[in-house]
Amino acid sequence: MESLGYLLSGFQTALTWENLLYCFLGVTGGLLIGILPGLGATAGTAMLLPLTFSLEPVSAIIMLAGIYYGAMYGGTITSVLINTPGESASLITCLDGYPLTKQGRAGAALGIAAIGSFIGGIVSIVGLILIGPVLAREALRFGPPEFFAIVSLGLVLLIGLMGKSLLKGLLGALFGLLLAFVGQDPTTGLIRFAFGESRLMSGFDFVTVAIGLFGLSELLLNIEQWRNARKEVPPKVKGFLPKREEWKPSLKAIGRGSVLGFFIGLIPGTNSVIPTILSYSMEKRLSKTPHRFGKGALEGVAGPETANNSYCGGTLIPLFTLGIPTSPAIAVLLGAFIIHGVTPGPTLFQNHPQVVWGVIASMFIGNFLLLIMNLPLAGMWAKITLVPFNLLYPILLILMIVGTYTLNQSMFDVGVMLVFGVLGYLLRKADFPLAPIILTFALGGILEKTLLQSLTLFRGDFLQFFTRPLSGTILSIVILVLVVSIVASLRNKRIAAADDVEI
Amino acid sequence: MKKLGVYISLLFLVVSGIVFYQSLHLPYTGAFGPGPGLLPLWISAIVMVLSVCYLVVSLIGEDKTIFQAFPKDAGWVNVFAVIGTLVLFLILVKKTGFLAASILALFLMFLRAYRWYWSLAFSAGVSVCVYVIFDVLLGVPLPEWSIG
Repeated sequence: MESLGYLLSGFQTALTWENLLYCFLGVTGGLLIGILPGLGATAGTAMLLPLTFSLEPVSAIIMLAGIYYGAMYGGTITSVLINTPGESASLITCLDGYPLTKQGRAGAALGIAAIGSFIGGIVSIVGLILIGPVLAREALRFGPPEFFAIVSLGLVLLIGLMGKSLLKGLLGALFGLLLAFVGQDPTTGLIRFAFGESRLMSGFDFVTVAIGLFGLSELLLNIEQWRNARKEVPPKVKGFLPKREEWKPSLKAIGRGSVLGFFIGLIPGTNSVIPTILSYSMEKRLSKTPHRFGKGALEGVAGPETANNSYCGGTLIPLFTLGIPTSPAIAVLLGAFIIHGVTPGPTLFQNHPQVVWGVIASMFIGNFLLLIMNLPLAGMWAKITLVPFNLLYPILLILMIVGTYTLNQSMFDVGVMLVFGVLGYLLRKADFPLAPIILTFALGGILEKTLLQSLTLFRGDFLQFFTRPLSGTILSIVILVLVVSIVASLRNKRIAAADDVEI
Repeated sequence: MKKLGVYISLLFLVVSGIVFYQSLHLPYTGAFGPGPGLLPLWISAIVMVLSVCYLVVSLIGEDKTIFQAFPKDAGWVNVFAVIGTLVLFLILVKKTGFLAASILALFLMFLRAYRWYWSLAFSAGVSVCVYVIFDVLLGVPLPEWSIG
């Protein structure tokens, strides 16, 4: 009942004209980012973050959160209409979405995707409302050892699930930690690894690194792969609802996708592709007519699209309650919170209720806005893909430069962004996953602070972590996951459960 | 040395080596517990070991070669041309200010695909729009002309 009261006050915050405008701008921006291939939620959110500096914290985060889940909606449009996923999470939607378009049923595919995304989004927000405050209250009892254990678990799960090479994942993760050490030591305030450069005294700016590593590197890759190929003209879209006999199986797929996506979002190290793949596999297995999948089965669109939007809400729970980002896009949201003076974690619900409940309420509104914008306007949105890339990329580049500059009004940051952009480009050419780098960079400060505080508490005895029930249990899981990953890697039997597609 | 991984591993080795060396000069322990040098020392040491492992794996295993990563077509040339343009922008912006540097950088990028008059029109248009949005509307002071 208490949560309901807070939620109502959150609606009061979110329904002001100002915040409605920012919500609309955020979801529209996210939709555009999702539609444009090559520019993912992480890079897009990082690039647009500087635009929010002059806003109030709640307005800024409403807008940025809108970009994040808006991008999930946007990726569907191009997947269905022109067989080109705008977002990595929409890759699976191409399998059945595009065949439906070829059958003249693009409207039904987009309609069920929009309805499923809306329901998935709402279910995950309800989950956030129910679980978030409870988890936050429990987390108030956590000490540095528990936080260290949880952060370690998140990082190890990320590395353990990551891509084709455990060695590259580990190298990337630890490299990210080295980057996090630049600047002031969290316990003594001593300046480390700044090499006399005053602008590095507070370390590398997270947003600068994120824009460079994800945004600029992705753009450079697209510039390399860009050709003057003829663009496919999206077909006209009509008739947005499924047939009567398709409603029941679609709604069942939506129900399953909602739950699946939400719980996967809670797990650190996953990305938005995983719930879509799992949902698709599940729907195909459960279907009485699995032969229809790949040829235009509506459940093949409904389930995955619901799962990826439900996943968004799930990922916000570890961020809001523990202050731990579980994916690069959420790490950018963490950066946004900190820049605006709001620290996510156990005290967020207590100290900034108007921010967190305002954002949660705005997500209901944002999902509703996206449902309205997607259904009748999908064909129009898809035409954006016809904008020539050679016109688009210089504009995106100049926005990245100016966006980075606005952080501290320093061209040094732009230089850093360029360096990380080139580094990210080279690492991608070498098939290095970038997600571990940015996540450990984001979490490095918390990791070091909690480790040092814990070791001070334990007078240097690391084994005392295992005398506390929670930290002991979690660290045991960490060791187990690491050992299993190493053994499986040596036996070459690792299956990439999470590839580095989070951009 | 044709493998791309060799160069990447050497990069990691150099960076971690520098951090390791610097960490040796930081206090390992503090007044109440571990010092600022403890974690960087250990992490950089582990990165050095992993870099060597990656170097070995890259040399003896099946890793992408430089020629596979950068094949002979115009693709990566475009990338380095763009990087060069961005470096030029960074050098010029302090002297010429944002507008002039932006117009020049965008002009060079648009010129690869459009005629010079269209490139000039697009670059001027985009630069002015960005200037208006950020400097005028959002109140972010962009670098200004400093010559004279």
